[in-house]
Amino acid sequence: MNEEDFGHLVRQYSRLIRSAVARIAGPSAAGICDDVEQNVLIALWQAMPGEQIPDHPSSYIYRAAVRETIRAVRGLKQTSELGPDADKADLSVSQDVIVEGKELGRAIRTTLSEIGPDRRRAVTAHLAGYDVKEIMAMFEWPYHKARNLIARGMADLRRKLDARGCRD
Amino acid sequence: MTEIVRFRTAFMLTDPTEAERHLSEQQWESLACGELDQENHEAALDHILGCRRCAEIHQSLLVLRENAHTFDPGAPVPNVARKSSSRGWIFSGMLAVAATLLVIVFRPVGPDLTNSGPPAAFDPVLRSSQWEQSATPLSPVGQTSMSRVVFSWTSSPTAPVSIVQLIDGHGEVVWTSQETEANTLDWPDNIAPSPGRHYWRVLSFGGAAGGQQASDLVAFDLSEFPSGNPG
Repeated sequence: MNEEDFGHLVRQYSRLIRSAVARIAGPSAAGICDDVEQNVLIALWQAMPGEQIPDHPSSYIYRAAVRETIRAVRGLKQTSELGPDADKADLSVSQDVIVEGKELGRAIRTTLSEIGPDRRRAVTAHLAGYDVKEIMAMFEWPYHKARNLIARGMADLRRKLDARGCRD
Repeated sequence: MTEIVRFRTAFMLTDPTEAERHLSEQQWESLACGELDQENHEAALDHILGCRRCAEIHQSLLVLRENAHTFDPGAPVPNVARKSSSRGWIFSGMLAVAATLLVIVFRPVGPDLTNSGPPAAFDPVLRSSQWEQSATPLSPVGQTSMSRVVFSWTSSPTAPVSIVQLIDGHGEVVWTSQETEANTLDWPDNIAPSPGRHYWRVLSFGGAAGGQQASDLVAFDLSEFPSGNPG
């Protein structure tokens, strides 16, 4: 692989990692994602040995891209946690709402442990923010199986939360 | 606030495994490359689903894995893509069978329905994807003793000639074997084994299509001691 091809591959990866980080950061973090793309571009070049580009670097660069994605997401979290507004309390959410939310959260987690394994995994992933396509990829389920497990698992969850009297 | 938003917010407010051990970089890499065995894979997913920080990393890695193979032939193909691809062929095969049955059933009705012959039968060899035709590296993988390293693999069913490539921890190809139709090779005499991370893979060619296909890149860690007996 010559340097031009390698450069093209690196640019494709840095753009992809930008979109992977944007999946977490959301559209409001466009500026952060610009920085991520730039940093990843540099890091991927530096990950390669300086003297010579390997004949077949693509598998290796995928691994480097995995590492850079992890670093970028971790860096993103640190930026958001240590940013200028990090020490300001969110006054829009009252303490009561947080306490109620935690109570419901604990009930959800307890209830999930009572659901069958596949439905539990599907619902847990659904609540953790994974979309159907990601759940399919994660568990190697076909579309209809993933959709059915989410739907039936959510129905189980609602019914059991109702029985506990903690859905409303 | 909709029910699902309320449930998600509540679920994420209680993160019981936040303080527990997160996945190491090596575990993330193995997960992203599909290299974890079933037990470790399930354990990793159980942790990830209960841990918001790890779930965010995992979601970003899913984006990477889902798309990288579209422009990088060395990136792993997601299992769903492979399965849906093979399901597509199965679906085509089922359509062919259904078409054949229709032709047989409706043959007496009119000549038009008998004019077109059924599509060719499903042939798993002819129709198999590029992924299925690559070789499968067997060993070394994971912790490996330096005392004797033998590369072994299952050859590609359609491309019988193999070349083994050894890649060092910096991603540099340090050895390329001679062409062989065997499926084992000893560690090269001219390369001194050194402790640490290495990678290897098999390039397959010599098939009817005339192309060359690379297997998955496999990681292994050389150590001076036999695996499982560091003392």
